[in-house]
Amino acid sequence: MKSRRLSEDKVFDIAVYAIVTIITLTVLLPLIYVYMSSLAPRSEFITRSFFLIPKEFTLDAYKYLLNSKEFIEAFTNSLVITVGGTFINMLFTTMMAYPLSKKWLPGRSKFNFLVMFTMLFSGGMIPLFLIVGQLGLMDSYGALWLTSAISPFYLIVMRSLFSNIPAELEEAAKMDGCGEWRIFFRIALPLVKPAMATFTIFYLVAHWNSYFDAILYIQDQSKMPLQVFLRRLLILDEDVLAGEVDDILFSPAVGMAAIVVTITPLIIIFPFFQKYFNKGFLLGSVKD
Amino acid sequence: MKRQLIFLIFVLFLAVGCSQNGDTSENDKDGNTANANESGNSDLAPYDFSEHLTISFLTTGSPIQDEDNAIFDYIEEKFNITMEWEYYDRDNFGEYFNTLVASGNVPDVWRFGYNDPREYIDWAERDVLYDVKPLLADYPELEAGIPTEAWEMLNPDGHYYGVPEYRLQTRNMLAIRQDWLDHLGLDVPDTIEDFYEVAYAFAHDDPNQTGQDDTTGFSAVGLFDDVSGTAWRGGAFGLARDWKEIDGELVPYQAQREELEDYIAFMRKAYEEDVLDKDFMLHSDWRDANNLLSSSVVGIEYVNPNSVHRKEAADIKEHDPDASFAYFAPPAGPDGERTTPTRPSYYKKVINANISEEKVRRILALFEWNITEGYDITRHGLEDIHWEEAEDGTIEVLDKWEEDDPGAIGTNILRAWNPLHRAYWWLGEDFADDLASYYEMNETYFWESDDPGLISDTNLQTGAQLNAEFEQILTEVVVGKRELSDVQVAVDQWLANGGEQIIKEMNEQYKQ
Amino acid sequence: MEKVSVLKKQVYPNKSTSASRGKLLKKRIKRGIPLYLMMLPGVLFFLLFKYLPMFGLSVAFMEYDPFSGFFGSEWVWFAHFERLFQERIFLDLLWNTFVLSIYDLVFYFPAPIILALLLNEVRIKWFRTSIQTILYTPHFISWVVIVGITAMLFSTQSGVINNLLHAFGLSRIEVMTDASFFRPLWVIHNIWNGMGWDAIIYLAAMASINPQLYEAARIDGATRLQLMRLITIPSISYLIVVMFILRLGGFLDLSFTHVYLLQNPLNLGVSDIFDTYVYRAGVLGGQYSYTTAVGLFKSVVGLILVIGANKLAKKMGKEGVY
Repeated sequence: MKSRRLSEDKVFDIAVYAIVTIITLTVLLPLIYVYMSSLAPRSEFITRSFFLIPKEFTLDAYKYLLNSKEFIEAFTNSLVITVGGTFINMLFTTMMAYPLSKKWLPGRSKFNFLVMFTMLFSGGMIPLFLIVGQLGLMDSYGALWLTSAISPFYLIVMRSLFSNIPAELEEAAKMDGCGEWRIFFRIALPLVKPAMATFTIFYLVAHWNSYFDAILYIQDQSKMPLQVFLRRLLILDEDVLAGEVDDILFSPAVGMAAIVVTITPLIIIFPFFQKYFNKGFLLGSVKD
Repeated sequence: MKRQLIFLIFVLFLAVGCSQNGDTSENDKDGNTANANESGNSDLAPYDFSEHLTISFLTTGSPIQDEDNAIFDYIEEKFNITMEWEYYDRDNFGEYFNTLVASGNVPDVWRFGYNDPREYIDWAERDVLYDVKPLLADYPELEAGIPTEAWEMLNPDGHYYGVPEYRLQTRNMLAIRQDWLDHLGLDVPDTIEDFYEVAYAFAHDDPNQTGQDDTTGFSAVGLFDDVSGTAWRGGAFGLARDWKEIDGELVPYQAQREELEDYIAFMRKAYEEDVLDKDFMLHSDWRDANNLLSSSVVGIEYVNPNSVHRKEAADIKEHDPDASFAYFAPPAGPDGERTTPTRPSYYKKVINANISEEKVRRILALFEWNITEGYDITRHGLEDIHWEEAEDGTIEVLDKWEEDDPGAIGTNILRAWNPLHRAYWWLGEDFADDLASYYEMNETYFWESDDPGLISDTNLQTGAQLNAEFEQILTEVVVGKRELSDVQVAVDQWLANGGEQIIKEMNEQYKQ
Repeated sequence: MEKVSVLKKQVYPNKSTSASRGKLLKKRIKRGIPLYLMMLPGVLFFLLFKYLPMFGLSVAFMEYDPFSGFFGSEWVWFAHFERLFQERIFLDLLWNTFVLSIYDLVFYFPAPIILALLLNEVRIKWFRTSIQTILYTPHFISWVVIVGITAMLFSTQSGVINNLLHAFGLSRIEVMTDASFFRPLWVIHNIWNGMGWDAIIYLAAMASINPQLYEAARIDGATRLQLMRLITIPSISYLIVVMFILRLGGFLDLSFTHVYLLQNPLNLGVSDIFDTYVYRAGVLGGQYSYTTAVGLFKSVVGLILVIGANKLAKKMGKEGVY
């Protein structure tokens, strides 16, 4: 009986690994292409002599991107925007998601509906722009942070994950004399680490990748984030001679290098968050 | 549910109430248009730069280093101004600009051209743009330095709502692989039949001598691309660029059934015989097709004379060190017609109608300087900073040129009125001469629409969709999914679904 | 003392007089005050940056002109909606948009769930960590690049695959231009692009499952497959329902850029959707209003679906979105 179960598990395991490996390969190949072609010399693009791995490697594309002083500035700006923005996001979102996950809270359903409604209907860019102007937020990162302080989608999903916290835990804390705020910060938040890690990375990525907000609300060129900087380098004005920096001719590699520069930091930080949503968090926290 | 809705309505009500206080842009507009229109005959001195002004300028492209930029410093000092440069993303210009307008943040000067020309007419009618004509008498060299047709382009009689910017209308020219021709013992084609023969040989007779079937004849940007598509192909068959006057009536190319049939039959044959790039309908930009020339897949394509020597002509040498190009006139159609891609030239720098006359004068003085004594500064830069004269009299470019980028300033911001504005001294006189001769050749085959900028409302609303469906059917004919006789179906559908109305509206206006 | 209050709570629901209900509600509101305060920043955010700007929706009912502003533009009420419903190819557009949305729900929606279930079963730590990182990356690659890579592989004349086929004397496959490839290609792109990313949400939910449940089932002799079926899936079903309802809210709302980049004259018959159509319709001021009107139409469809699905979920004893 037991051995049959074990052999069934073995088949299951093999199937899981096989499928996951195949899926990973289909994703990996285009990614390798992006990375490798960012290192390919222009001539190999022209002669189309490589498919996945170039014959020669060159850092020209990266030199093209990184040689200007503004790169460091833009990179730093992006860091500030992302870290500040994500902090505000998480604070605002968790503080709203937690109360909304309480089934006993009067008015909860109405609030939830109002949140969901904003996912479907939006007044567009112009009214928001006017409001940001009226609030005096123009040309400051406050505009970027506050206008995107909560994503209704993430809020709703986070609320669903919060509603999994066993009510007994809170009751126990209540009996120990904890107020709602303390329960929230000391008990609820640590319990939903997987959800926190997930949405931190989601928000972080959203800030890191956004550029149109900055074009809209930021006028000072020295405050522009990395995405705006890269985009502008990649726009080929047909009258500018093939976009040339320091005798390095623009080549498709530059576009690929821009992607690499953008996504590599995100790939590096991912494992730090990953460990949280791979672990069962309730282990040991519910005592019978 | 009901309560939620009531709450919602309440919130919306609140929103509308609040915003009424917020919207002030309207008042600005009414208050200022009045003085803009009366400004013509005041007695401000044209070159009085005593008061310091701040001017905001919205342009496109990559931002140019503006701290410690010797060129910007020079301009700011000379005109006693502080320039605030803003850059927009061309892709989102419409959306971006609408937002600026709605919030009353319109810049002092911006470059018009990457949006629809009809928008210019619309803006001019609403007094959004400053009419510079009354002031031009004080800036005679500015007025004289730009052809009158360019000043008048898009403008109603007696008004100039913008300062024209140079755009070469017939820039691109055809390049053909001379080495391939030599290998095959062929000549540069002259007529469209020669052209087909050469293209056929390029596709089938191994012109690059690799022993492989790795080349094809020519590519295209869809069938009817505005800028490059139909130019020599369709134009040679007598198709209109857009509208053609036939017996006093304006006829659109979509209704030229016989000419269409000739053109489509030509493309269909080319596709069937593997002479035409099989991906032609995927290309949306001239560069997509042009890349095939660089990668040695096709042997004939348009190139930009400004940069061909460093781009395509250099690229093909990667495939074969002996590779070279010949440049040639558009092939002649059965009736001897030749046409070249022709772009519109309505690009202008426009000035916000709501700014003070003093500011406008300062801007005009700057523009005048830019096409006269400043012309060399916004291209080559300043002597001994950006370039220096060697002992033998030749000019050498210095490192700072790259950094301050006068080339980009002269192209993206203060574009002067000169077709050879990118023929820098250090590229040599031969380069400038070659360029001039290419441009001269291209101008001969100018290909323009016969309609004088008329607007049909039906065309505005449904034209693009009708064209998409029209091209769908004809592309299917070309790739053999339909019979050649279905050209008639494409024409009939276009006419029935709104084309007839468009023709009617256009001709009613044309006859007036 | 505490025991008494717990007892009282259990007694309350049995009494059905309205007076005691009101009392209960009052008590709950009072108990909820700290929670309402906690929500305040979020509520202000929604009022200020989500609801206040909704006056912008009024442009769908006017001939909006940025120079006249929201209060100077002419009201045309339902003219833009009439225009939309009377468009010659309205039904074609609706059908094309509808079919793509269905493809999305049927093929895309389950993909991240399946992937998360599989990943959850991967026990080798380094393997799991690295594949998860790989699978999450495509989310950062724009449609332009994804479509570009597809063209590089599959375009008929110069695509790598077709050149190989041609070299072996086989006929070329017209992936980019044959209309019958468009929908599958579109949905495969979506899966490639978003599967790993969306799986993270499900993984987070799976990480929250009480391990004791697994241990108990294991002792009862359950196989791994049974654990997945009987514990993992039911434990995340609440999230699947929420995600599904939210997805319905975006029904008909597809990525313009993605469809537009894949569109060409040969697949126009299946690839023309509301967004690409509106892009071609009209250029001047009117477009702003018309675009808003079309967006509003799609939102209303989404709202109806969400309300319906939410009701259904509640009937089935699930939590729903609101």
